[in-house]
Amino acid sequence: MITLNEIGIDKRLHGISAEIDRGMCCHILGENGAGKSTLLQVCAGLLEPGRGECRINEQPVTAMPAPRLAGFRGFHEQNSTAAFDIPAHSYIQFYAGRKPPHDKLIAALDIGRLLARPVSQLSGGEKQRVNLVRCIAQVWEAVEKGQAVLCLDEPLQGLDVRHQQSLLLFLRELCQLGNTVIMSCHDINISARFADTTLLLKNGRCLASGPVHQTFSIDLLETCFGIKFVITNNQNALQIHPQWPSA
Amino acid sequence: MKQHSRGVLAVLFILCLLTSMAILGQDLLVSEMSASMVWHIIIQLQLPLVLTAILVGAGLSVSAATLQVTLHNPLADPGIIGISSGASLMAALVLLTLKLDHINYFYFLPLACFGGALLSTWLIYIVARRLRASTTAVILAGIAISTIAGAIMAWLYILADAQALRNLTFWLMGSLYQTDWWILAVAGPLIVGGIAYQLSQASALNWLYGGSTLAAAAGAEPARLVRNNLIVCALCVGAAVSVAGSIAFVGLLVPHFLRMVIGFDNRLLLPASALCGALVLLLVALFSELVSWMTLPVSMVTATIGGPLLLIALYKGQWRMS
Repeated sequence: MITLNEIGIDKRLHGISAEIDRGMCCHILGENGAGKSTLLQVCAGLLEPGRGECRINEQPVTAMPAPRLAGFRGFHEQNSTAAFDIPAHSYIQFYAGRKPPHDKLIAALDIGRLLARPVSQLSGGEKQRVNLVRCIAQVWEAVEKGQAVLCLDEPLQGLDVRHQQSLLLFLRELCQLGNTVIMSCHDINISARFADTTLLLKNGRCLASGPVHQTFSIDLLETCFGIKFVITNNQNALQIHPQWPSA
Repeated sequence: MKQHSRGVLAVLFILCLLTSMAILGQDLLVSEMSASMVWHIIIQLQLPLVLTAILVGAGLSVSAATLQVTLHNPLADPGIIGISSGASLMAALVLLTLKLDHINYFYFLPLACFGGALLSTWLIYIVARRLRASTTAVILAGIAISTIAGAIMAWLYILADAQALRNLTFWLMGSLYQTDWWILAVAGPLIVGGIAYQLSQASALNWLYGGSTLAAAAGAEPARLVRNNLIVCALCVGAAVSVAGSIAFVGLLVPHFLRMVIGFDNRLLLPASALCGALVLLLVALFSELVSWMTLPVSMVTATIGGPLLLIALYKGQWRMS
């Protein structure tokens, strides 16, 4: 379980509290610059908050020794690039303790054909998939035991619809094993379908948190994003349509 | 892949050994001298030459490989972050202004150069720390320091006399013949210690390929790692440059060449860089021993052979994507 207790970092985050149970997939939503990436770094123990603390299983994350944390907490960074022409498979292995990534992982993100190519020469979406594999491969042992915590900063960025689907289904599978996923997401409909719990951020403050049916109300979404929405409920699946200003 | 890399390491090691033996053994073949004379030459001249070549080559190449990963820039070499320019400036000051004769500056020059290297590294370090030690800031600070050093040297050039200028030009192009056992006794442990530290950080260095955030997520402390690497490389390069003058291209060429052959894993790349750097300078030393009627500046030889080699390697593309 991940407990956020009154997290604050100078002007970026203010008094954010939330609880994310083990096996949950938590989506963080909000405008650009609302503090999603900062909050993910705090959850991952990579950024020490000025106030409050983040606990994983009752232990303060900043007090954990880095190598232990690295064994069960995966972190996916937005737009991370390697400066050298490293082949994808060595790049992944450097972070995965010399072991090649598990076949299941390669299949889930469909990177089999990319492994021999230099990361720097891949397209945006391909790079993203390789980086996701790198992130999950680092904590694969913990993932198999269902004890991993994955902090993913916009994992869907750049992925085509098919790869978005397979990633989301794979993450759901990981959560069912007991792993916890915290990710930022810009697609409200995907969050409506795949998030077990959500966190709406606005200007570094937590607007609302909880399961989708609590947080995805027209009022909250309109406050969060500053535009109008229409929500329909189609066979128990929420569908959220942003409204365009009439021309 | 593993075996292939081990093979490369073994081949490099054997070549180093053979070249060293060739340098040491060449005098034994000249039978005109008495045995005691030959031993004297080997111990007082050839052995220091071999050790200098090994230490300087290994120190420069490993430090460059480390700096390239640490600064996230394949172009980084000890020159680009200003370490060697501080040493060169000190060499220029000593050679052009003090007008000492050869005996007097034999020990003073390396000492002054080492001081210069440390001073420039310290300057770069404080500038970079104010800029939150971003890798670009380190490189920019290094270029600024090099520019200042270059400007001061240009002023000195105008004011200096011809013989002093010639001495400086030779120093700037590097030489493996300016050492003796005393200098090696100081520089040797520094360089060996620096290389040992860098080898011990190899797997943490692998995590820096994806940037400092990912290194932190993988269990390293990137800020400390980057700082320590910069300091250790500065000591190592400072010692190497003080001993042999500024030697160009070895640091840039050797790691790039090896990445194409054995891949990017620093646990193999760093030891291979040490061996290959040592081998390159040993070959230069052997070459200058054979061409004994004139003194060949090291940079001249490394640049003449290294430049085209790198160009060929680049043209052929990645030789072997490991």
